[in-house]
Amino acid sequence: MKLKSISYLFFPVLLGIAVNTQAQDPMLFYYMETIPQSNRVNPALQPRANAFLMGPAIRFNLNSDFAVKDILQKNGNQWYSPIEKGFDFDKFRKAVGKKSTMLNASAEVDFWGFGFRTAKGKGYFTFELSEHVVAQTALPTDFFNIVNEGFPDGATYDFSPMRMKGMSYLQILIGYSRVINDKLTIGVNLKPILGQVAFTTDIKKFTLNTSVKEWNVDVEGDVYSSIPIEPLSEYSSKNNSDEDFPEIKKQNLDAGDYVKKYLSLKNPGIAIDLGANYKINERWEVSAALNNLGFIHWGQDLNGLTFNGNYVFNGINHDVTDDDTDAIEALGDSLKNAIDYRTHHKKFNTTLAPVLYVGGTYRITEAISVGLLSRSTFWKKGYRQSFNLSMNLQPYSFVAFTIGVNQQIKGNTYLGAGFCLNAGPFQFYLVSDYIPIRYSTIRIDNGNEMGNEIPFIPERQKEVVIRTGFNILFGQHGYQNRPMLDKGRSSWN
Amino acid sequence: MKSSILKQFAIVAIVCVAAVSCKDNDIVYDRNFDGKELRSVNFAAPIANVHVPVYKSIKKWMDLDSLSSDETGLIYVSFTHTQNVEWTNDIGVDELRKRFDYPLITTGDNPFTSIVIPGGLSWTKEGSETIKLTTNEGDDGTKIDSITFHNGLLEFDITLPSPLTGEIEITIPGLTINGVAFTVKQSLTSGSNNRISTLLTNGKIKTTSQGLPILYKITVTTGSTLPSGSVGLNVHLDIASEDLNSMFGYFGKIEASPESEEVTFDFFEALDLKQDIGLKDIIIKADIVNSTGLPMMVEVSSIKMFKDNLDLGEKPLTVTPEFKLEQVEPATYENGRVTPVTTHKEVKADLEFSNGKFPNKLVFKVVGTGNPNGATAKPNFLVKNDQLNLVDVNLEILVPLHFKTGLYERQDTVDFDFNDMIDDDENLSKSIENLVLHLDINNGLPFEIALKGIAIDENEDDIVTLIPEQKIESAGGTTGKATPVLTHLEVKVDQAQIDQLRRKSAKKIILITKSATYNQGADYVKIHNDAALDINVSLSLKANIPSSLF
Repeated sequence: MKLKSISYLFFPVLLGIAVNTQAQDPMLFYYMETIPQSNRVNPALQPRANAFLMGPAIRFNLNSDFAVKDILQKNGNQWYSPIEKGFDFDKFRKAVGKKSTMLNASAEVDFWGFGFRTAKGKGYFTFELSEHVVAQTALPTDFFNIVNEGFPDGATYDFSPMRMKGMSYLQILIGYSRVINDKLTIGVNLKPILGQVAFTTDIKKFTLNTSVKEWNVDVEGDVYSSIPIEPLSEYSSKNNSDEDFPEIKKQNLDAGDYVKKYLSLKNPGIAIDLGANYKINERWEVSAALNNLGFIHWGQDLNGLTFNGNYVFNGINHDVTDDDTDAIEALGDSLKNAIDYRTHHKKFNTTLAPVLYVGGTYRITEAISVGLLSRSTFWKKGYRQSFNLSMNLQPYSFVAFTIGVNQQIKGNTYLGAGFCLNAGPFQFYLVSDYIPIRYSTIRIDNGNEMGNEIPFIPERQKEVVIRTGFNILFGQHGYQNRPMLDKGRSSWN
Repeated sequence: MKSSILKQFAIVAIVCVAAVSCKDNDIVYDRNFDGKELRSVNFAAPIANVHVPVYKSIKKWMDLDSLSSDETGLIYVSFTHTQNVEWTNDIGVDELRKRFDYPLITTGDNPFTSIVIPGGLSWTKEGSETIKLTTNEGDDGTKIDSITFHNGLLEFDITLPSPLTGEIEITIPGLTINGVAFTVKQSLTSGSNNRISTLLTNGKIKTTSQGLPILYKITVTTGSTLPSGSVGLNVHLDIASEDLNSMFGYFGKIEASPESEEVTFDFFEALDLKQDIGLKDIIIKADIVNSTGLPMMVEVSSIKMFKDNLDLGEKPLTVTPEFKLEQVEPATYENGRVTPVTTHKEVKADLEFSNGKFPNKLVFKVVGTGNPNGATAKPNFLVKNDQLNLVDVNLEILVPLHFKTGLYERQDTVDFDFNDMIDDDENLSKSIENLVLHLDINNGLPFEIALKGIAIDENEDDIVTLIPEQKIESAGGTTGKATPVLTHLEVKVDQAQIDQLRRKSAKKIILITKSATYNQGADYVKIHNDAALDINVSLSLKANIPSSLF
């Protein structure tokens, strides 16, 4: 009882903190056990329903390392942009990160799926088919440092964190979890992937050193693509300097060709999710999952560019006895020849970003539980850490709610919420990580002229995730004699 | 129980969210940057490496094609002058007029030795006369051995005293016309009207050691009266100079003193020198191409320097040794072909000028003497040739850049319309807090240079000294090649100066350069063809991001 009271008081306070401090990143899906797709985030978390048919679902995710409020800072009564003296660059750098700042967008469409518990109740199979589109951009922080510092004597700028990546792929999920004993459940999702299109950069080196004596640019990297364009002819900027870069032409494909292409195994990939859940006792559970260990190997429609070079500029060389244009022409020629770039048709791999979840729940009552979850996302050149504190409520069998607070390390605090509604066997759910709850009206004036107002801009928001879909559940309460709100069946009173 | 829990949950959630969420303060951002303090950034970058190669620069800017260098790389400026001696009307054979008298002896001695029947007495005189051909130049010892010509005139006038009549036959074996020896026969009447006139074409005269013999046979007849007096034979030979093709013989000592020659140059004016200058080791070369058969002596004399019409005298130029070619060899003649012979002479000279009086003209005389030592073993000849002059005198004066000069000051003007450069944008000029131009000057010239730069307006009034007088170190070494020396200069311009440039509309920059050769002009220095001035220009500035960019 006491604990219940405390939790009733505690959680609103936490909500208050969340709301006051703004913007977090709920990972609410993890503990929404009434939604079968929760086993995506931990394959060991078996859905409550004995079986399900998955209907179309959509997930959309947008995240950025900086928000509108990071670009327009208030100091006193005025707002400042990064080019103005009143703008605090140290504060901005904390927001965007030391090396790079990322802007990611992804979307997922689940076409169809199903799952069922095995006859003895220990195992659970899952099958899903989904389409994924991912786009990532990383801007090196040094780009912004140029606005702050300019190009002073003795500066070094590292632009190698710059990155662009985009891909689309069809994912098949084949999952299996098993109750090992009354405490431990383990699970695995095997995800064969059919890659469709991809574009990625791999910049190994891109530095700019500036000084009074010379400017030095050093670049090395590759661009890879698997896109339905005609193969580019062999070209090297050094060997073919008199020729134009090969023309990029789209392949002439009809709808059937696209289907054949994108259902082929020419861009195969594989990923695996591993999870485990351990019940310490009736109230406490801990779990962990390592997801998205995988890659896609691209072997179709390959066109790429390899570039490397070092260019040192120490002034335009001008012989006073030559024509003025000679020096400019010589500069142009040296620029042209400084960087060697060559077309290639190399196969390449793209890795998925592994995610590690570690969490625990405490069941307050049959209907209410609180959860704490850690999520660590590992990008190729970055790492993101978030924590989530959630409260999960299923007051009735046909409805469940979740509400939580996400905290990013070196980021903001966000509020998330979700619900699912069961109408008979039909289930509809909507979960959103990072609900924007603070809004501003933005107006950009031009001197005495008033600019247009744009209301309801979530100026502190760095991330948005929404997932919605529906399922048809069979045996929605499951075989587990999990006490619900029925008093008589449990010691949870 | 269920509804109670749900209600409590809902109330708490709603209260918390409602209490602290929703609207933040409006963001009102004014993007008019005029008047706003924009961020101050630094910029440091190299601009240019300016290479000033001395050799190419002199060639281009002073429009001198005649630039060269020797095996050590020392640069020379050369001036050439050519004087040609062509076949002139001064060269030729003296016109010859000679009279021979053959007296008729009337007292006691009857010259008439034969009797011509019917009636009359006859007299025959047979003999030869030798005429000597001489040149119209040279001393009295001249002698012509042979000549060829394409036109000439030969006349004989025979005078017979009355009442003689007769005939004359003349043969000149040494004279051939179209290859045929000259011979003529003509009847004579008494009196002086006996003229034999022959136009000579394609003629050749070959004399003996005494001259040109003329063989004659005069036969005269008289009636019963004995004549008195003498038979006169006048010979007239005239071959015009322009009709001569060749001449062989000994032409005597011939002195030719043509008019003075002059060479003009603007080398010193182009440099706009005002101070003393010394030029060392000037080389004067002469190539005499002799297409005549006369040995010669050639002397370049009366060398004087002029500034316009002002005679600077002979003193500025010291020629060592004197410019005299004592032995100019004659050409050779073989198988009808003349092969010219070239004789070369070189002398050195030093020049020193002071008080700003620099010459722009060199005046001299080239005096030639043919047969300076009298008769020679081989005969002289002159052969007319369309391809060859008789004598060509080719002079080349090589002035090395081996010199010393005291303070040499020059002003150059560089366009610098400041307001045009900043598009009349006051904010742009105010955005620059400070600016430093870094100059690394690698001076490969043995000059001490002081540089100053002043910005001026359209009225040429000073606005601000952008470059206070700064010294550029001289390259070291006055013997052999100069060793480049590096000087680092910084030109600092602050916001106050930039503002002045804008307010007072700077239009130009005057660059004042003062230079002197090494050791303040005391030492002679050499400029080699690889000498250069290299200036590395770079810039560092601190400026506010200009609002005009947005």
